[in-house]
Amino acid sequence: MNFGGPSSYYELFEIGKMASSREIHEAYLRLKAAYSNDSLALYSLISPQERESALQEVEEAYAVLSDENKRSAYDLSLERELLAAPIDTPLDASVVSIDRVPPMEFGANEDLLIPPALDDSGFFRQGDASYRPAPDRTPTPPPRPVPLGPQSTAPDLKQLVAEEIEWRGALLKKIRELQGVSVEDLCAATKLSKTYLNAIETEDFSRLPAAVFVRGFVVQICKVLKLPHERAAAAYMARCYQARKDA
Amino acid sequence: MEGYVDRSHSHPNFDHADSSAHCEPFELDLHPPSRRIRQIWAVGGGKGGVGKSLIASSLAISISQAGRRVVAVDLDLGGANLHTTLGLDLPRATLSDFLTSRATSIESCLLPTDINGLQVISGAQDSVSAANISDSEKVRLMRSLISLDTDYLILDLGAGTASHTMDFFLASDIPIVTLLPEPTSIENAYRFIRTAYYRHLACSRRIGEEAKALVRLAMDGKNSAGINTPSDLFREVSRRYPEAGIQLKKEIERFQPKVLVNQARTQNDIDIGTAVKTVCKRYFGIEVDYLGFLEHDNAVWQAVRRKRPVALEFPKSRLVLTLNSLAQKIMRAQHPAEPTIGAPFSTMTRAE
Repeated sequence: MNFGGPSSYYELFEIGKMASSREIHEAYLRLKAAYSNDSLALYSLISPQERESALQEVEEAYAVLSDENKRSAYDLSLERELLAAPIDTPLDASVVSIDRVPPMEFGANEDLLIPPALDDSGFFRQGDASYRPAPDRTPTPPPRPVPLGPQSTAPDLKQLVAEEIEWRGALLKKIRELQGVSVEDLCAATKLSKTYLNAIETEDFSRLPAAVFVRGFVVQICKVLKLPHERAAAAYMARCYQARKDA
Repeated sequence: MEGYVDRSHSHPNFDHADSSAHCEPFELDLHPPSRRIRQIWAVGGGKGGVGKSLIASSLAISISQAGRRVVAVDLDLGGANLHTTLGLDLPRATLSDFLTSRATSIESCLLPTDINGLQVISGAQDSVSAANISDSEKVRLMRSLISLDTDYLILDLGAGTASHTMDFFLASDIPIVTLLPEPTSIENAYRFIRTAYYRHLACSRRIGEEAKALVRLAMDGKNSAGINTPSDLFREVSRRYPEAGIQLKKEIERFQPKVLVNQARTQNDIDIGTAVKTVCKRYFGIEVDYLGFLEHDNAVWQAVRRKRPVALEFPKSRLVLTLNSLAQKIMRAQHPAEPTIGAPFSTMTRAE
């Protein structure tokens, strides 16, 4: 599943990367027919604008896949993209893909937040051996209260927050420390891993997942530290996008 | 071919009667240890007159001819006529009797047929009172059906998108959407899939409440948040709650309805199934399984006029052979050792 558009031309055509030119052509004709102006299958579901957009995607994909040279170059770019998995595109309003969340890098003893793996039956998998059913609407325990130090209301911090526009990771770290909040406490309150928290504070964007997740992490951190999360996340993400674009 | 099998051993889709409102899931074990039923197939489609009853009865006959025990259940509570497609007269006991407790058990509503191994539970005859059943009646009915001593349960669903229709569809292992190559049928089929899709998500116990709140918002097509499509929903959930977005994605992927095109006359009609599959992937983000197509066949109306099952009246017709092939394909997808049905049929039934 990939809302907002498939991740590759091959996915759009529903063919493998080793597909023959005949298979590509057949897939092209099938999609052209599906999105043709008189296609019954579109009725009541797909708007004319969306139909046009889908057709454009099909034509664009076919122009590349049907040309041997363009296809080779495209395959190469796909491989590069795969190798540079942590690099994420800016938060595009039309695309929110969670298919390419890069694996976390972590040290051996780090306390990681790992999304619960599901086995084939949809149960959460606990390790490799034991299984337990999905929790039955048990309310999530409230996050541990973060001990705020006496500095949290200090006038210099308030002023710092009021005037800040860049919201760098180092500043987030400074504010955290000024408030007397340890890394462990913040991780517990936000349910973030230390790896991600450290990467956010050091702005090591290559170790962070897709932009949509990073933004969520920053917002969570700001909420716990009682910072203006909208402003902070926007400024932080602007730098994240730029850094990844440059990379 | 993957069936829609809820392996959680309990299905949440038995809930509030209002399909557009919230769902309050409660435990209903669809796979109790005592269950003998191998599979539940549901034939729906949203629109009346697309051949649901005929297909359900023909599939039931095909399975019984393979030596399996089958119970065909008419869940079209407002317009039951599955018994007629099986050549039975007005039945003495129906679901009306079960729902009003005039019948002491679901077994007392079982009607024998001329086909060895096939029994029928007829739909409600008192359409005024029984067309809409309460939550408790719905649960009692499903629990009773699951307890039946049979191999296959074939559910003939009614037209429309009533909550109980959706819930029986979602509770089945093989949820089939029947459509005709006509705009009205396609419109209703999409409405049916859309309702089932959102209900599946809104009632899932694997999705958190915060994401469900957005799902319920999306169910109102005119909501103020501008969440008008499944794509909007997914984007908004992922933006607000990244972890919930991952769960939502998994849950969406679990919804895999199967499409069957009926009364195909031309290659374009056959191709509609493929196009529907493509469009559903783009719009809903789901993998629809295109089961295949059934050709338009004059044998059907002739059999209906004679009040005889087409599978018995014209057993060598192309339509019946295709249905046999289809039934066998579905059975063997889950249980490869299932026996052969009738004579081998070499012609492709799939349009893919």
